[in-house]
Amino acid sequence: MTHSKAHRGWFLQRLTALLLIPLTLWLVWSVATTLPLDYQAAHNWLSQPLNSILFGVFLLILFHHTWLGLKEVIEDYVHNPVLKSIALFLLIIIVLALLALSLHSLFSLRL
Amino acid sequence: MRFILNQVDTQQRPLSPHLQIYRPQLTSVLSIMHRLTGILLSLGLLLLVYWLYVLAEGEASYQIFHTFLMSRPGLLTLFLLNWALFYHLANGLRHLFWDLGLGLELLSSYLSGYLVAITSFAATVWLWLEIS
Repeated sequence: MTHSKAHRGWFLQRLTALLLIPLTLWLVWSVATTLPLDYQAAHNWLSQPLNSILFGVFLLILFHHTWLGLKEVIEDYVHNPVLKSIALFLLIIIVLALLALSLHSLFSLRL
Repeated sequence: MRFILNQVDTQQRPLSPHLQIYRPQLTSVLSIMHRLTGILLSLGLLLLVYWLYVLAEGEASYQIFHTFLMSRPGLLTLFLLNWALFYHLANGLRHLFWDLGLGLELLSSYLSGYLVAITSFAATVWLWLEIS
């Protein structure tokens, strides 16, 4: 199933998509039932260990899925090989930086 | 042989044919919409990261962003992102069924296409009426 790089990406895109279905519905439901989601409500919600952990897992999978999707877009539309490599490199840097920022925010909430 | 296969894998991979080749039809419009909503949701992810950031920053920072989100342009943005999310989710599910070899016939793909377009919009409107 995961012998080549292309196969691996294809498989992980589907796997992350599948995992994101319940996680997304959980997040939408959580937000909808915590509205208007002021500071105290948001803080209380994310301070609960289960929500915090699920949110962290959600972010990891979502960032992976986003990376795979945007990578595919770049591969399809950026034809110049040098520009393509630069774009794919920048994409990884941005995705990792944003993931690090959001996980850092999430952890500092629990302190 | 292995060398050739590696070359094929990293450099000669087939790309999706580009849009202007085709006459637009429901299935192709839904397909490009999947990509467009995906890009839109990537931008929405920036809002989510920022929301988490201001939440960790403290009440003052959070309050400013929260006020923007609850303003007219903020709510419109959230509504559009909500619709994009439900569309991408529903159509993504359609793709997963296709990967299993289900619903690939012309009639089924049109029916599921209409179903995705209608249910994603209806679900968004329903949710917003429910929470308003």
